[in-house]
Amino acid sequence: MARPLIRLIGKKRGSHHSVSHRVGMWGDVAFSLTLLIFGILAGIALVSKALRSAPNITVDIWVIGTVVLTFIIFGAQGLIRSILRSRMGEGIRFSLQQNVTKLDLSQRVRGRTKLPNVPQFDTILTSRGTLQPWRLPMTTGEPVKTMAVIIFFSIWVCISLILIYYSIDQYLGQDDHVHFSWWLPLLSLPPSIGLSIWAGRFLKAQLQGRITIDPLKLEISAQPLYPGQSYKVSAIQSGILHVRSLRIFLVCEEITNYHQGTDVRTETHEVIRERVFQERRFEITPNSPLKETFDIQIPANAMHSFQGHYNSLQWKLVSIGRYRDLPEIQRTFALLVHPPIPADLADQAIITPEDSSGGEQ
Amino acid sequence: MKFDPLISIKLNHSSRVYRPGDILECEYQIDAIEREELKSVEVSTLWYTTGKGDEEESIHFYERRTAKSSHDDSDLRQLAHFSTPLPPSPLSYSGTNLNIVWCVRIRIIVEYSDKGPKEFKHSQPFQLHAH
Repeated sequence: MARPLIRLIGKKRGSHHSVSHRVGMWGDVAFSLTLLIFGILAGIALVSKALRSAPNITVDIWVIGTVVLTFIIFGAQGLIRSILRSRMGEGIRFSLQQNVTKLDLSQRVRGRTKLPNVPQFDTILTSRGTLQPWRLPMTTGEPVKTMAVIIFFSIWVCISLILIYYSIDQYLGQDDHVHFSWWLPLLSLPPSIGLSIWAGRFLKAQLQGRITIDPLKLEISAQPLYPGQSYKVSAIQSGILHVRSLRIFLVCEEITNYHQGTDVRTETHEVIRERVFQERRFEITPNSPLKETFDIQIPANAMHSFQGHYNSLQWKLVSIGRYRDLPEIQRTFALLVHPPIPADLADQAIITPEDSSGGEQ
Repeated sequence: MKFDPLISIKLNHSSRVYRPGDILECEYQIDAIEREELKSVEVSTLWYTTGKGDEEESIHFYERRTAKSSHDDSDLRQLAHFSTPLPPSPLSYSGTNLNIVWCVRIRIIVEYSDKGPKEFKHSQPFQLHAH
């Protein structure tokens, strides 16, 4: 089949497009510019009309004003996006990056060595520990999963209640009690109630470990971490618990996001998984809480933490606890590994809680 | 028959291994092209990712020279030089699903008399390691 010389309407096939990039870019620019000009002209006309009818500005002027404003915003945003994607945009992007870095006040306040694409250790958001200087932030559990189960459970409970109400209402309102309008919804009740019970039990299992158990706390001797260095980590847990096993792993993982058609997928690959602590069959009581200290070492040739737009490399400690009468509980604690620093800056690189309190004053 | 232009890049470390804070010095030259055909030369030092995730890149150093912006006597094809101190991160990385590659990239825009503008680019990878 002959291919047309100029294809105005393109089709996206994965990351490929059936029209040339240049045609697409100019089309985008033309559309955004038209939208912006139209928005500005309409805005001027609307403002002049509003000024004439002031002080009685009617609701329709506000409504049209909102529409016009969206035209201007979408037009300007599309135009900027198109320019940044063009060849001219590379220079502008570079210039913006440089200026944004200069204007990053948080970096100036911290006064530390700037590390592009490495997450910075934030002393303001990190708590002090009791056994070690820093308490590690916990990054689990699975809030999306728990929220999805709550929504699923709520929907099916609502459906069951509506079906019961409708059936009773129809039954009482009909003279003919064999009428299908009440017993047909009643037939749909068993699967609906069954799903509600299943979701409720699943939700209970999800929440049980979180509500009834004091969270495990991990504290560390220094932040950020550096390859080739050893650090002391303390595990603290209180409450009344019979622990079947508690294991803690040092994990480094590559997290990659990629487009597949119109979907965005995430893949996680563990590069390092090393068991750093394990203890089996012990009791935690109010008089004898868990307080164990162990060492972790970041391998000398390990990569530092990295944060890009689509890709990242994350270090963390993962605890897996198995308790009597409770489901297995997994928690993750974020670590920050910075690249090795030159010897002359080594003294500045270790941050102590006293530094942070000085910075906050 | 018209040959593609030749882009040569030479780095100051023959091993192409640098440490954070090192000065990267680069010489580059464009050959096999007429002076008036070469419209612009862009040099950049950047890192980009390869692997399973969507590719991303970040420019550390960028310079653009055009036939109009150059002095009358300068020739964009001639041996040119730039230098830049390298940042402390991100370091080069070769993983399973993610690789971070540093490179010097030269991109030229050429306009032949019988055709429209055409782009050629050549990259010279190097390693940024702490040890």
